[in-house]
Amino acid sequence: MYQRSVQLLSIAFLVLGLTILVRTLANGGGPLSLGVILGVAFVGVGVARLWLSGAFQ
Amino acid sequence: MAERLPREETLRRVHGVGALFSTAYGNVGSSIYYALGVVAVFALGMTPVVFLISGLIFICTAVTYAEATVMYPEAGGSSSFARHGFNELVSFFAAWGQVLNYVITVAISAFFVPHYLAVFWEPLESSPADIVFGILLIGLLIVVNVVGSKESARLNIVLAIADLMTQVVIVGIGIALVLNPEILVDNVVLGVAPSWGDFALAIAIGMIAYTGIETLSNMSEEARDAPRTVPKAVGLVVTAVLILFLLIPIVALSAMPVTMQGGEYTTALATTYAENPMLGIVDNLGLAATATEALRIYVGVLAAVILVIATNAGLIGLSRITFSMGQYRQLPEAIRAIHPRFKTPYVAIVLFGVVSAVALLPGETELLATMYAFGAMLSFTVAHVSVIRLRRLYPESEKRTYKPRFNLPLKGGDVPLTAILGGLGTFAAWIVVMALNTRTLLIGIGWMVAGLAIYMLYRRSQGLGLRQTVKVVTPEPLGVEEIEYRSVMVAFEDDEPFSEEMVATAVKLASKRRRGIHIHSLLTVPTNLPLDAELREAEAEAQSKIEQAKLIGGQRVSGHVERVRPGQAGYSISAEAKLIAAAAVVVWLRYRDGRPLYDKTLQTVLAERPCRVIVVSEKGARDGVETAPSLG
Repeated sequence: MYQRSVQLLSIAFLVLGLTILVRTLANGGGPLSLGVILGVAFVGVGVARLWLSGAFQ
Repeated sequence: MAERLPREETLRRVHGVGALFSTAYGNVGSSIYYALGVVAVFALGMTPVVFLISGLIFICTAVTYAEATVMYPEAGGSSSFARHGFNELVSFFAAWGQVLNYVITVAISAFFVPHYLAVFWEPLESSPADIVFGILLIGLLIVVNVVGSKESARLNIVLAIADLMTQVVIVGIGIALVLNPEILVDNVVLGVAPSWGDFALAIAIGMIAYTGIETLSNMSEEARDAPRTVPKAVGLVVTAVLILFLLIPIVALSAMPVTMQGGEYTTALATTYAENPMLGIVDNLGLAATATEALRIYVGVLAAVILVIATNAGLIGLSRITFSMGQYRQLPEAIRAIHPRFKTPYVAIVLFGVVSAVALLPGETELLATMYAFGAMLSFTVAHVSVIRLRRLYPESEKRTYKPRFNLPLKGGDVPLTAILGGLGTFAAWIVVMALNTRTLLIGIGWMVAGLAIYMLYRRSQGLGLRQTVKVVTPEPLGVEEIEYRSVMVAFEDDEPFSEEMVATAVKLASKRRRGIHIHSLLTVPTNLPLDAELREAEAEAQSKIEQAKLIGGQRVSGHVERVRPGQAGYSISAEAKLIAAAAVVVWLRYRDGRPLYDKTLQTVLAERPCRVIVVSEKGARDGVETAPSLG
């Protein structure tokens, strides 16, 4: 249950990060805009947590 | 000793490449009638490029479907692939996404029918007439499907050919009269018309033009020689669709160029003709008034008919996928309820038909299109990932008789490049459609969460794990036995009572040369159900005819239950008679009000003439018609 919750939350972070990234770019945000930085950060956190949970093994 | 044929299958596989292509093209080709306008709203002058990019993603998806469908020729599409590649939970996600696809397909197809019928009465083009008409149409088709519709393969072929020819003619005329490469280039102002955000969103929405690929997967369980016919049909559909869906927007934007109006770039394709884009092309081809009017009426009627068929196909798809989900215990039992009289999954048809009607209520094409993109992109992404997983799990599977070219070699086995690129494309499109459309994000996530909640609660109530695959147990057909070649065949349809005269006739014929007797007992499965749907009562009744025949004919009698679609009984009987080189086939002649009734089954058997045909009527056993020289 715990493992599944962790993986689910990690996927949610990943999707959220991608969404923020896309919206920022679509609205003309540059590479150093807050939206891009936050988006990349969320994606990074999501992928990293999935990796640590062993989802890619 | 008589030569014998081992009997294993009870499912009739009837569809060849032609039927697969025409049904799939009929479903995929119908979407241009609404997709063109919707995409142009966002993509403006880049519409042809959008269709090209969406088309490339479509090719990758079609290849993925071909590989996985050949491995597992069963209904279910991406949910079936996910079941085999992952587990039941992932399969549910894909299936629930497909349900959303079908709901939106029904809604959007029904919504556009009145827009094309507006050639006869203009108010049908706008609200509220189009919403009311669409909802009434869905209601009518719900009733038709509950009672049981016959999906005519012949009609599908005729309409697919008519649709293809019409589109080719329109493109031909357009290229001759209006095509202007300069206008096409001037139509585009990079980053402005359209904006990059709208361009990205248009690509995701552009996938709506390629709805219908799931049809091939759903039909695969009835495809003859699936490893050969399915990839061939996929190839033909992809070729036809790509060429036309590139040329049609090119012609459209030459005829209705992008202009600056009120400070904004726009095109008549995205405004006046957004709701009936093919009529927009006809109106702007520059033909004489009489020719334009005639072509308008023809295209209007053809589009309306094709969209009605597409709406019905969507309802059939909905009922089949939800029934399949019920078989795998993904949805509650009540959804799988079969109508006692019509033998159709009436609860699923009514419930999800109503959901489609509700989706239609706002009358917003863009919302419908983005919702479709949400469901389709999720479902397609799962399909791509599942195929990659299946390659890793079963790299040398004997079932993989079709393997696409262009594979990436990795440790432990290769993976298909088309699945990787297609998966990245569909995943990106899924993210984009959620990111750039908040309503779609909320409704889509809400739909998935609601579905997941139903799934979890139902599974918990049944004491089943979320990842566990469980299928409703269908009783094995009794007496799956070998058939003797050159037997006398007796054919019983499921709406006919058992006839002692028929069996007695067969016994008399067979005894002359000590032949076997084979009972071909047919079970008609409504179009709304998967071919292997559980129909206990009907199966038992069909089986009982075989048992009763054995009581009369003794040990030389064998039999099996054959599942067929409505209207296929005659072909099934003929094919079986040819397969076993039957000495004769005994069929029933009905009477109504004292007059013989030559129904479709009898007509087909007599037309096919597989061997000697003995027609037995209610009035007693006698030789009715001899249609071939005696094979005795």
